[in-house]
Amino acid sequence: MVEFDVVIVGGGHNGLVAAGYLAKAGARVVVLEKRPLVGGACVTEEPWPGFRINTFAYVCGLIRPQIVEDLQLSKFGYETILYDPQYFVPFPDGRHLLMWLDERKTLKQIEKFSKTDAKAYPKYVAFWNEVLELVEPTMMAPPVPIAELFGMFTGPDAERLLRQLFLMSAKDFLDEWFESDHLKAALATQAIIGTFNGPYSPGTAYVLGHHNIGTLDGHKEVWGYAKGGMGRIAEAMAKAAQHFGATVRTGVGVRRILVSKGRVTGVETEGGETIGAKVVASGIDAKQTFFKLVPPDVVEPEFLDRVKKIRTRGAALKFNAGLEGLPDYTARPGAPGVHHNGTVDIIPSMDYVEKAYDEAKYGAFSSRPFIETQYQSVLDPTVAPPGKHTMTCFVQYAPTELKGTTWDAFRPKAAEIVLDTIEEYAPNIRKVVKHWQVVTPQDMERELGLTGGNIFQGDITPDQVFSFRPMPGWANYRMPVEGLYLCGSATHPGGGVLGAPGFNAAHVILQDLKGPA
Amino acid sequence: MPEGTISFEVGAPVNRVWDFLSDMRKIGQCIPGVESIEIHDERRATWHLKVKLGPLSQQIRVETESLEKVPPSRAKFIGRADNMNMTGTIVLEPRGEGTAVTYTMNVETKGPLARIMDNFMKAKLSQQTQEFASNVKKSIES
Repeated sequence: MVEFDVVIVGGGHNGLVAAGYLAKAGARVVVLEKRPLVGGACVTEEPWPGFRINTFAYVCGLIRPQIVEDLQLSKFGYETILYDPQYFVPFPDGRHLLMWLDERKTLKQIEKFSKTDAKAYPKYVAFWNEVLELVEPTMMAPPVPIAELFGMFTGPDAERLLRQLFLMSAKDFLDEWFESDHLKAALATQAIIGTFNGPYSPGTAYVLGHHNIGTLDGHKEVWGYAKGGMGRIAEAMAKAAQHFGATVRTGVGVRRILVSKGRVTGVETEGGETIGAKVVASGIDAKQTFFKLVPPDVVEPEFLDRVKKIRTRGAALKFNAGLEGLPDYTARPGAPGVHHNGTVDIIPSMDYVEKAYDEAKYGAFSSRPFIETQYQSVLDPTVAPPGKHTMTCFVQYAPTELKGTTWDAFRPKAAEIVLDTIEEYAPNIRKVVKHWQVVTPQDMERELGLTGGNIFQGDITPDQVFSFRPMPGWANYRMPVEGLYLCGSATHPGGGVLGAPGFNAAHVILQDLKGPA
Repeated sequence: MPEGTISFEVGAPVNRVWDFLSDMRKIGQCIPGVESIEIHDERRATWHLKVKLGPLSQQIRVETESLEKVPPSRAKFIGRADNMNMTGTIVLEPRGEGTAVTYTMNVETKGPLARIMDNFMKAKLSQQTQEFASNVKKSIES
């Protein structure tokens, strides 16, 4: 007997968005989340009393405004803090760059490095604003074949754009815009975040674009904090889904997806419970779905072979800490200072980060990694005990597997490398760190089911986006078992806390549940 | 289906506004992005539009046909392009010495890119209708 119209496997943000839209449209929906809390990688946990840490995802801005509005997320606790400056980049030569919301202030900062670049920067910002105008409508719809998408536009402008976004490396792209390596390094961060590629790798200009679509409080190309932590976003999504009639269950892992006569009939939980449904939508990645949950004999071997070939390489680890005070940066002394408000990037040059990638290519954790840090407690005191601070570091590059050792064995050494690196810029770091944790790619796979520790459920390079995601021929959320869908970041438009994959999958499912018009 | 509506006042009597808006050439010149117009007869025209989407622009040929004319209060036309049909409705009401105009544009997208075009048009329609209103006011009042 069918108990639900739709079972959603995994209570990550996309599964919750899908549940919200499906329930709002009248479908009977249940979300099953293995962990004791909803959110997947979009969670806030308390590893030490009073310190609320964004264990995995750490900033917001990518979530599509339509989803916030449609699901009334603000009513359910979603609140953001737009930070300013957006970036603080300290350099080893003692200089620093601050990127402010006010472009005029940013231009003054850039002038310190290059007057020519200061003149070019407004055009660069305008370029991304225009790209956002073009890309935004493609995100909230199932992907169309990429040839048709490209065919919409012809002429030299279109050719130039395709060349830049799909074929170029971040380095080559930024070289065409700017001369200062300091500025280029600061901007290149967005081209490599979460991606197992260096800034010299072709296709990274696209990743730069993917991370430039942030929209908060009417500002474009920006990031902010979710007040109370990233988990509040997922909690708001869960509450919205429940408000519209969905059931959200935590602590319920799925052991397998049930298939009979070529179509799904529901799921069996790890506790042995059978939940019947017409549709199963999996928010976990394609590899976990097809190699762990779907019976192997119901899908063609060729299909499984293609799933196996999706690139899901881990690229980063998280170093999270509870602090007694704030790090004091040599390049801008004083703590607290405005430079602690937003993102602090340790990326002295593009060569530095390319070398960090080189080490990881051959199985080593970068001896001097790129580190992106946030001290959310500076603007949001709700996440730390009075007078204390939180620090989350996204540290790259951390390959899925280490050559000659294991992540569990290497964990303390990884922490030392992170602290050594930060210490070169903020000598008091060891004095202020009270608690720390290292979340390795292996932890991300074990805890969240992110294959290889890939935070995007598959690289977001040009060969794995749009109609190539999760793989060519299977980009419309429907999978080769009737009633089975993917609804997570493994699908278009990819990773990050966007919610768009869940939105798109929900609409395809609703269309199929309704049947032919 | 994306829809954009705008209401605005023109400082001219309703008959003069009607004469302007029921003229295929004149109304065509107020459509944002129109580069040239070919008039075929009183009811039919071809508009050649250049539409800007982000950093790119696209040339669109729109075959336009008048569907309804109720002088001096209501007119309706349809524009057919490769990947969409646009239906425009204009309602006029005397307001003092001037005229209240309500302009509604409905867009029906078609083809494999329909969903994406829908999203494009949803984002664009408000700007398009505002620009149309501004062009009409400027043309008539000057």
